[in-house]
Amino acid sequence: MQNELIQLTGDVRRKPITAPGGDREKINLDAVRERLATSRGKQMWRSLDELAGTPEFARYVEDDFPDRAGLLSVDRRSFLKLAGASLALAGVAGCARQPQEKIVPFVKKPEQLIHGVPLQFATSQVFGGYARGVLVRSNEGRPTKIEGNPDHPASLGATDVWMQADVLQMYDPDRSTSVLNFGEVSSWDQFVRAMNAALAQQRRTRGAGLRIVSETITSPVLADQMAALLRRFPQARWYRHDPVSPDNARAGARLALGQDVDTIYRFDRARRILSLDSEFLLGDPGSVRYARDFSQRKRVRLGRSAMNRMYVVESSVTITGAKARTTACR
Amino acid sequence: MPQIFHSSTNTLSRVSIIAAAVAPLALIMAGSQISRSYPQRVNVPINQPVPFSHEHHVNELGIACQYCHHSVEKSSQATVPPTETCMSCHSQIWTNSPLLEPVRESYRTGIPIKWKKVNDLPDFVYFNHSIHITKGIPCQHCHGNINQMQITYKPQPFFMAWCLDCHRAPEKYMRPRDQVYNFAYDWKAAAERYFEQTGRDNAQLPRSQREFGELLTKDYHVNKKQLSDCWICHR
Ligand code: HEC
Ligand code: HEC
Ligand code: HEC
Ligand code: HEC
Ligand code: HEC
Repeated sequence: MQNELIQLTGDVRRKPITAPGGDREKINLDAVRERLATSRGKQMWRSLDELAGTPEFARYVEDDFPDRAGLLSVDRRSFLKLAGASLALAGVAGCARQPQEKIVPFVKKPEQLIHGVPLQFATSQVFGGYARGVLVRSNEGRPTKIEGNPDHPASLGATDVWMQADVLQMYDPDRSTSVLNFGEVSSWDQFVRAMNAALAQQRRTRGAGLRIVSETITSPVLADQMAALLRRFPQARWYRHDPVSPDNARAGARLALGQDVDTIYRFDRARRILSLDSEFLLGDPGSVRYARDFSQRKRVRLGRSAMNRMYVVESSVTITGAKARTTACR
Repeated sequence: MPQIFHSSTNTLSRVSIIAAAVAPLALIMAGSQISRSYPQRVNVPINQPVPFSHEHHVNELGIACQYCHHSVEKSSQATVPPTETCMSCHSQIWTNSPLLEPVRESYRTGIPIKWKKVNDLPDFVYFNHSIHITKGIPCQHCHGNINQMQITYKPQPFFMAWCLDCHRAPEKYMRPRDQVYNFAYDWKAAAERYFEQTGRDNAQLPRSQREFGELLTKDYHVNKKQLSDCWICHR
């Protein structure tokens, strides 16, 4: 039975492309070469048949199921054998015992975790150096979804694309899962040991060889730790670099007010808005809040009949420009 | 010529004719019974890494189910307790028992104990503990008298028909919520207490478990109409 089955299925297997009955037409290689020589640009083909454009090939391509002739050629007896075997074997699948599964509980259960019920954590997502309040859903310890924190003034329960996408960072295959030393996997112990040795050396020179590069830090804790470090190593330097940063806006504020300030816009109070190349509806740490305040003022309610009005001057097309009453774009 | 066959052969032949007719039927029925329950390992105690006894811990020591299966009221899964829970007692008592060595080892090494799953639905069936517990379905109905099991086994095979038997008429088995963990349930006493708690008139006490259950389905807002729809269990 087994052998027969194999033979039968062997029969059904795909046949080379030939017209049933008829002999294969020979491919005229000379004609092919000539066609290739006179055609221009790149020529792609997957078989000589295709290249030569033989009638068999054209038939093969046109036919939806080119191999079905083989299936039909099974005779009645073989067909019954196959059908019988299929029928007999169909039941076998249902007879399997379920494999023995295991329950593997924690050794020490994390507090508050209930298996099968997601936990919500209030935390923050840093954007352009500023923390924005978010709620993260965690299923069995794995963060799966980020939503805005309704109690946070920069979110009010809403999110933007950056916040939504932030959860993917956790599963980024490029994310380092261990300490690396010149590309070699190392450990935290070794990191601390190497660090302590280097710092002991720096202490002698009061940090003259110590340079730190970081993004903008707005966390008070981290800023305080940085200040403490610089107090201990007065000669050390701290450089800040952000790929995209509001440095120009800060410089402008310094020009206008004579001191370092960050601007917080009150779109909930503005009746006229002029935006000069500022994409405050999407690219700013406060965008989520700004978008809400801006649209609230666009709504006509009982007791308020006037909408806010925005004028945008911008050098490229932005979301903010699309919302403007008048946009000048060069 | 003497008779070759004794007269009793008549009966014998009749019996054998009937037997021949009945035997295949009986064989098929026996076979189907075995093939239905044998793969399910019903009533077969499962060898666990630690011979944990519910009889001992629940019946004799009186530990509540939720102390160990703490998520059973809140989650789809009841889960088995972490090693820590066992050690809350066994770091003090029976600390030298060789039977408990795997527990101590797990606590020392941080490697969990791997319990064998006793009750196991196919993965294409959705099940949820919390809804059953909050609607007053007792552990006992599904897990049998587990408080008397030395080694845990499953008392019945969890066929679909068995789930549906209740889903079509849950009033047959429903209890007040606080009776879910009770293994010596008496519906009359429970009904009287329930009437007292809810301030009902004792003159209307139900006359059977079924009547009591019907009252509970109303009180617990059980949506009987959709309970036997396929999507409830196959999602
Ligand atoms: C002291 C802790 C403890 C208590 C109390 C306890 N259990 Fe368990 N239970 C376990 C452990 C450990 C297992 C896993 C080992 C096993 O299957 O016997 C388990 C397994 C089970 C299983 C089988 C799980 C499976 O593999 O399918 C059921 C059902 C169960 N318990 C129900 C109950 C019920 C009902 C109660 C209350 C009457 C209860 N348990 C009380 C610790 C406990
Ligand atoms: C509330 C306390 C308590 C908890 C929690 C507890 N046990 Fe026990 N267990 C006991 C006591 C008491 C005994 C001994 C009873 C006796 O034999 O008199 C015992 C006995 C045992 C024995 C038998 C020991 C022997 O040598 O005979 C095993 C095995 C065992 N427990 C396993 C476990 C496991 C596994 C867990 C965790 C799921 C657990 N126990 C949780 C109190 C507890
Ligand atoms: C309606 C029936 C039903 C009731 C009531 C019920 N169980 Fe279960 N239980 C099951 C089924 C079915 C499984 C197997 C689940 C699976 O394989 O997905 C199970 C599995 C378990 C397990 C194994 C671990 C897990 O989460 O899968 C434990 C422990 C358990 N039940 C404890 C309890 C306790 C304690 C109660 C009472 C408070 C209870 N069950 C009430 C049907 C029930
Ligand atoms: C003794 C009665 C009983 C048994 C046995 C029983 N159920 Fe239920 N089941 C209920 C009741 C009551 C509800 C609650 C219905 C409601 O309130 O809408 C329910 C609800 C459910 C739900 C719905 C949960 C939801 O989120 O809507 C699922 C799924 C379910 N049962 C699966 C099962 C499966 C699978 C089995 C068999 C292994 C089973 N049940 C056995 C009584 C039972
Ligand atoms: C109350 C829960 C429940 C409902 C409702 C339910 N099923 Fe099931 N079903 C089960 C369980 C439990 C099993 C697994 C039985 C077993 O392991 O033998 C199952 C198994 C099956 C299987 C596989 C049988 C096999 O032997 O592999 C099919 C098919 C199926 N159900 C179809 C349906 C259809 C169709 C409906 C709607 C009419 C339905 N089920 C409604 C619980 C349910």
